[in-house]
Amino acid sequence: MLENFITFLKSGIGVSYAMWQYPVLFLPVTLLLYQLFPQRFRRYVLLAASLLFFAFFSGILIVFPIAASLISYAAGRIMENIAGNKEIKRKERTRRRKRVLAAGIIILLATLAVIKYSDFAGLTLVRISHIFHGNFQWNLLDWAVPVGISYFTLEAIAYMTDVFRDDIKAEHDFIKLLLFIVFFPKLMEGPISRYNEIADDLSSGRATTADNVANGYQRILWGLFKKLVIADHLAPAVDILFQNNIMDGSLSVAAAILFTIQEYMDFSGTIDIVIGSGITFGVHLTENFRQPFFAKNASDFWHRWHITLGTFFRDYIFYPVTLAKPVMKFTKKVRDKFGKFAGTIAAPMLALFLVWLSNGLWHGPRWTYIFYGMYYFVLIELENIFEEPFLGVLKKLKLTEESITVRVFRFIKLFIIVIIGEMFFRADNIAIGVKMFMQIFTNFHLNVLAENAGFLGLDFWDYWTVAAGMLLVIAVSVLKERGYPIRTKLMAYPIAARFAFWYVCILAVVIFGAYGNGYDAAGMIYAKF
Amino acid sequence: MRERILEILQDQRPDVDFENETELVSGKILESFDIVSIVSELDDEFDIEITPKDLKAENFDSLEALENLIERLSEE
Repeated sequence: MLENFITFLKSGIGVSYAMWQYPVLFLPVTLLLYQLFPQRFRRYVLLAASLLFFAFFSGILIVFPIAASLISYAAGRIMENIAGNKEIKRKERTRRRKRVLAAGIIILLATLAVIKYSDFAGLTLVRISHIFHGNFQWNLLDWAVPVGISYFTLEAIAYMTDVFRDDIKAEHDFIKLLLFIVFFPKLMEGPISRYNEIADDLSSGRATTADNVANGYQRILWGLFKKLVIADHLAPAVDILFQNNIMDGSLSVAAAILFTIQEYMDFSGTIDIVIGSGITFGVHLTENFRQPFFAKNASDFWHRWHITLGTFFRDYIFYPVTLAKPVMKFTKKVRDKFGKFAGTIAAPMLALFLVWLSNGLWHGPRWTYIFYGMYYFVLIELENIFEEPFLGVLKKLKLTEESITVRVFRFIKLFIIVIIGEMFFRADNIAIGVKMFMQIFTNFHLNVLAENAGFLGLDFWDYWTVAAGMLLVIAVSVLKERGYPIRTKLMAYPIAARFAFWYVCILAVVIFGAYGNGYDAAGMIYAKF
Repeated sequence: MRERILEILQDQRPDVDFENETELVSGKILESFDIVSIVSELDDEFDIEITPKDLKAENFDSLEALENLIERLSEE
């Protein structure tokens, strides 16, 4: 019987946070156990739940996050010992600490590289060798990838680097560090968290409160709404459009727009569920989205979309590379020779290139992802270069940055940049992406889209459900962007009204959510990275 | 020193009121590009080495904070 129960749990939790087993069974049971245990044991409840959760997906591969925790723990302690050894000169201490940090990072990155990228690298070598008429062979290794490895590897690296930078003290309590690495809500899709932000709360064993549970579940409900009512409804249409990619430009545009919506709702909805789950335990995970489509340009977009990935790259790649001595020397040379503007643009270019290459590769071993990274690298550089001339033109036209014309222009420009980027991101390969892109200009007929709208796996009511759901999300985003305290205002209503409201929300998710035939458990898009 | 820092800051971002602003980084007024550029000028001007670990809001949020950071680094 236990076996049956485990299989049943696995069928839901081993797929997605949005399967009902997670919010209705796994999370409440964990919460209940957490609350029932005495304070000092509570963190073990969280740890056990997290390990179990991991095992549902990846079984024995659980050794990977445990090993990552052990390595970063050891690196932290060794760096601490070196720092405390006053017999060694300060410079030498820093040098040794740096070596320990480098070793830790290399071990973690090498593990990630071998597991995720070795086949990709091998096959690329085969291709290159063919070009030169060589005969290089590669036997696919086909490693099983532990769930969340792209997330917990970065978290472990951030932890070690923060210890090196004296931002945090090396942790002496291994369980605390392990729990930080494997905490189940953020295991699969982030947010990529920093040790000092959540570790204390995670391990405190503080009893949770009714408020926490209510607030957390409200957020979870909102996430389920975005994922089940909008993203999963669009999933079949997006699949069909990308499978039949070479037909007409209008279908390319539809594919690009629908996938962008699907991905945003899927990813940000899952993050809502994740953050809501954290809140139920009184743990506040970092926000990963901030109304990205209100951004003023591509660079700003990435300050609002998958925020924790961007800040990770900023703190652990962009700054260290730009501030490295050789790069600083180069900056100075460029500035002295070509002026301040060139210095500001040229020097960070190398760092920015590495950031976007890493961004592309982080998503997985595919050329479309690398293209996606390079696409943003080029666009953000162009924006940097043209920002000042653009402001000059605005001045001449007597337009301010806040004027509605400029804002609409910026929104349209950003929207086009984002959907084209997502189209390449989702395309089977770059060649197909290019064809889909080109046919927008060479073969565009709106009537083809109209004729095919009925064959995208969505019926009349699906379109209306998605449209109504979108309107609600847009309305909430506008209010949030304007700083309107939506939740506080909601809480001000009498309790009966509030209950009625949440009841309607739950019903909406249950009734309008995409389940059943044709919607077989749409996996979460960002869990596979 | 204060005047020189202010000059460097204003040179980078003439649109910001550096004398009164106290949330330059946490208020997202300065972007990473601004910071990198400012750091390279400050390093040159005061013969110091600002490293990634110094790039925190508490060191960059205001003119005073920057002054303190530079003083501290000059002593080292």
